[in-house]
Amino acid sequence: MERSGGSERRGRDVSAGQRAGADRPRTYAAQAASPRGLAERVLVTLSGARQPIVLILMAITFMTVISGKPLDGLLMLVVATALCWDAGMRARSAAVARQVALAGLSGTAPAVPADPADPPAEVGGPDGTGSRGPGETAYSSRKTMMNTRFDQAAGGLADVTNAPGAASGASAASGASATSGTSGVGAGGASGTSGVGAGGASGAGDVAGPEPAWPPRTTRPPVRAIGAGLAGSGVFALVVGSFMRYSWPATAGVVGLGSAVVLVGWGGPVRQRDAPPRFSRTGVTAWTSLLVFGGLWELAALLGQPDITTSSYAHPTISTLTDPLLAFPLGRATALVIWIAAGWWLLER
Amino acid sequence: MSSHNITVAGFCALALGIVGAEVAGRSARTSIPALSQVFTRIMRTRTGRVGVLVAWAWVGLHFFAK
Repeated sequence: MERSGGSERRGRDVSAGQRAGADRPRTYAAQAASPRGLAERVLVTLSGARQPIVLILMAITFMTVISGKPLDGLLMLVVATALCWDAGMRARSAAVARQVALAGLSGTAPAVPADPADPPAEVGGPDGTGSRGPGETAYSSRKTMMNTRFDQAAGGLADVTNAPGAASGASAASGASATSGTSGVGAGGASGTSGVGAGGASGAGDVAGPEPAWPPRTTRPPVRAIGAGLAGSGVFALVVGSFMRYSWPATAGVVGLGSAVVLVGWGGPVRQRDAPPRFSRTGVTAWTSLLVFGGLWELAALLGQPDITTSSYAHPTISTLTDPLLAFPLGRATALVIWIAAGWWLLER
Repeated sequence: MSSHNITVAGFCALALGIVGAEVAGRSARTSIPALSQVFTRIMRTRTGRVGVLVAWAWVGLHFFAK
């Protein structure tokens, strides 16, 4: 099972196959030329819009705008566009990195062979790489060698993945952010490879992110931190819940906490977790059906109102149904506690 | 049955569906993943992580902020 939570490479005994992959520079991701012109920027942004979460954010944006909150909608649109750009640029960098690696034209990368054990291209290695066949150009021979080394890297990575006690980021071959560590808490820390360094080019739809701003924890937070978080959450909920809904103090509190959590999430995961294997079609269908049904049901209730901003008893939305709970301070505080707990739970994913 | 009751029944069915899927996901007898697994997988990438957290922040904004 792979581990997610970071993409740092730290001290770890790696196989020859992994060393071959590690020889490739980790600066590939930064080698993609910045898009020029508005059209190219738009294309890069649109290429990132294939991410399902971006589509969901766009749906939320739409619902927010038609609900009479254009400012919230604009905020969501800005974030969704930024995520599109981020995903599109990383997919583009991965694609460029693969092209550069195959062509052996990298300026910052050590050209093949980087491993001293590798034979020079003219001599030919025991596996046949490096030798130039009849009619083979320097470019094609290097391409053959790079392909062979990609395969070696993938093979070595798979060995590490399958080794007992080693959870590895084999998903890096498909572009996922990967962190591998030896089993046991604190025994090996996080050892990961970038999507490019370990497995070659990343897929456009599942691209590894940059290295996290901090090393993710491998265990639960300390008890003292949990206690402080619970106390802080309780105080926050009571204070913010004492203010009326849609007031400036309540807005400031919610915006401040929400922004802080999003910034933490942007920096990287706070906890290293085993990423589950790819889901079955049944599992994806089940959760997607629930999500779609919920969205359509809420939309139907919203459109059933006499006015888009006027709630209706006959067609109540979730907001309308929760209004009685949020009408008094204790109810608001309870809702805030649930909201904070959900955010905490998500941060720990 | 009034339209109010039908609408509320739909939301109740949605809640029951979520609970049912979660229970099925934790029972290990089905191939349906638990909600925690779904979010762990979605949030492996920065796009997924930030997207989910923004959606969470939006819930707070929607119910409490101007």
